[in-house]
Amino acid sequence: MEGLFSLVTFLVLLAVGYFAGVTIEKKHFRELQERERKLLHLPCVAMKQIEADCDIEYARLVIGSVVISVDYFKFFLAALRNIFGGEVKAYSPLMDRARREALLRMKEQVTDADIIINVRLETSRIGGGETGGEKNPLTCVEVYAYGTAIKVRREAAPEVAVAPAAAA
Amino acid sequence: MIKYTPKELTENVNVPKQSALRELFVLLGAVVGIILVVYLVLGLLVDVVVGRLSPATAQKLESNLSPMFLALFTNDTRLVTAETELQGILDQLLQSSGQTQRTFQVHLVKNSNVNAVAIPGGHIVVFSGLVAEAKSENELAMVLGHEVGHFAHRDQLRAMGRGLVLLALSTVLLGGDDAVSGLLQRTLAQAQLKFSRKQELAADEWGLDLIAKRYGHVTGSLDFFRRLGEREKLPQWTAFLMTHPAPAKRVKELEATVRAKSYASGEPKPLPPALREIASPGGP
Repeated sequence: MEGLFSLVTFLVLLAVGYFAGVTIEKKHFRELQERERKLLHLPCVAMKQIEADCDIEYARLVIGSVVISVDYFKFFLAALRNIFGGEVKAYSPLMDRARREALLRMKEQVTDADIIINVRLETSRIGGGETGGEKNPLTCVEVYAYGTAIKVRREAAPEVAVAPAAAA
Repeated sequence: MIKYTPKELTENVNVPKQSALRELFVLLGAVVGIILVVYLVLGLLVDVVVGRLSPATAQKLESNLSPMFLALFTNDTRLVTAETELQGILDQLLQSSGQTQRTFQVHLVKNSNVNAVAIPGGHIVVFSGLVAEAKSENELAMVLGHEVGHFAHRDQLRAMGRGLVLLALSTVLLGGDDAVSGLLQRTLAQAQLKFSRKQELAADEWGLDLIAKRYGHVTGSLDFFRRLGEREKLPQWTAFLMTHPAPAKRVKELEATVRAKSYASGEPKPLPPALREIASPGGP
């Protein structure tokens, strides 16, 4: 009886994990695509400095972070994958989502900047430890993106800048 | 300076093209396949090893395993007299066929389930529900003889051996506290409560042989199973049915054995008073 109960619990968890996981993931990918398109004008690079002959209006730290949980289906699939080895395909999209979300959140802080340089990504695991003596198998992943947003001081507005030349 | 050309991602290498469900079935299939093969092979090995153990080693193994099973049952002091009667039936059964090299201990436990369990170490646990359903001594002797048959064939050791193989397998393969192996342990450990139909039939035949030697005939000894077949649907029988073969089929096979061995027929012996008390409504 106990065995049957745990089997049913397991199957329910697996089904819920799968359907909820797929739905949430699809929705998240659609959203990411949409938001990335809007912020396409803002480059995000890993280089440490830019060489430009211009005045900098501001250079400031921007951060973006996200915590995404593994669902039970992914966890089980990864546990099975642990036996045979190979790419853990259950987790690849999850990490992809987390990285892109973190980068986007970072960019969304400074939509008026010209570039974000020195962008770094940090990944860490949250959970998976022991709660009340019982090992908790489910984990979350945190991805943390940070960089330096730079805005270049533009010359005065074009019509103003053009005016002296016209006068000359 | 490098020119920046914004470009939208159209394809994502991090999202697998195949469904995750497919991966699940492939991996699960592989795991189950491996476990099955190893389980079968090791199971066969256990059978061979258990068959070759010396009686002394087998008994020692069994007595090491018995405490964890015996802890599941509590003896009832009110049933002591009846328990002694049962023990007497069993002892005579064994003596008349000359099987005195090994002693068995009967435990009568207050439980409305109609069942009897053979526990490693020569312990036979009989539920009072079973005694209440018995109509003659021969019927009870048949149940006891059946359990002795399990011991004679070392069925418990075989079952335990397989159970241990299974446990060892999942622990080695998946780690002791893994969710997958925990599930496996719980579901498959339950399946281990059952002996195979072949083992049950062999135990039945063993019991029948003991009965024939003790009473000189086998009349009445199968009545218990016959009534069982008629009343299959009653809830108190479910425990018995969970761990034993379908009674109708069983009786048929046993009747064939009775004919084949041309056992004599005679008059069944009535129940001793202490056991009859349990059967009566006012009894303990």
